Amino acid sequence: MFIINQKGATGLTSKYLQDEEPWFLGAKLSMEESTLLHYAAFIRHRFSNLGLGDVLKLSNLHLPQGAQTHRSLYLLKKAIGVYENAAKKYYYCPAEDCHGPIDNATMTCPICRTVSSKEHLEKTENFFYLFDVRTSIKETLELSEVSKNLLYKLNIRNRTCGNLSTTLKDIIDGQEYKKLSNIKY
Amino acid sequence: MYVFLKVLFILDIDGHNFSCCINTDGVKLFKASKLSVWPLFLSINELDFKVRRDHTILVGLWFGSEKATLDTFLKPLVPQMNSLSLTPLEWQYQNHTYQSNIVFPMLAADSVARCALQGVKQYNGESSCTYCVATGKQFGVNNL
Repeated sequence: MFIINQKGATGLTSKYLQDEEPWFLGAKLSMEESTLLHYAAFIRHRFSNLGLGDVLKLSNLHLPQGAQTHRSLYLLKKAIGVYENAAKKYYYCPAEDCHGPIDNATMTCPICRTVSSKEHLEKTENFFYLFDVRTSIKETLELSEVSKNLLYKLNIRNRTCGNLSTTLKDIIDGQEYKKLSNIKY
Repeated sequence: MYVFLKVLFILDIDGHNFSCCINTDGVKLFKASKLSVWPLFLSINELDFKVRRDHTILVGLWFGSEKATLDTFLKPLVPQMNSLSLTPLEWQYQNHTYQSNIVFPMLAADSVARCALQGVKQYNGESSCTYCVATGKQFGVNNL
């Protein structure tokens, strides 16, 4: 039921997003959703590890026999597949109207010369994550659903190449496209 | 669509080469939170609608209490994208190895993100029209 822990550049897999089975009979949410909600609360309210452990224990006490949530932050992260090393963290300048990239070696902004510390930038949330684009695309292409569809579409494109008027195979009407995006698939 | 196909033609995209669309927008992280997140997504244009939507790729996440500074955010991505357009990506399907050059000819964004990406004044500001030089006229809520 809980097959989400496949290594990926983003740490999440399509299996994770598609799996929406209720956790137990009468449950309002799936185990995956519960795991994510616990993790979101952990980040939002800045729980300590001990605090999160207590919340997980509390949640467990409310669950029926047989259903159990993760017992620690480690197990929770493992289940979600949070691979912090898959993404590179970049810090940016906290000075207003600057937000230039911080040089990691000197922790100085090359634009306004503001000197910061990693701890301060973490606290003020002046950072962003970037995943490796090449690895992310490669992992997506190696999913059989994607590669099969891509090869099929590329075949059609290449066959009709040179005659642009015959290659209008996608939706070209904005209204029709909107209708399609409203369909739950 | 025709313009898109012309772009592919100009960029000489054939064989197993394909194109990606970039997308970004600001999202409030929590209700009543100052903190916002700007995710950066990629989607493969050549895929069918459903597959494209199911397999949108997350490549970046910006955190902050203000709007993302896209110059800073996108700077490390540009060399990666240039490299993908010049050096083929190798991938496998059913024991066959394919090589694809990937180009990024388009970026989809709403008005707020578009202005930030283009580095121009926000869409509702004076002289913010990107098509003409009209300065525009201000209408306060009470003047409507």
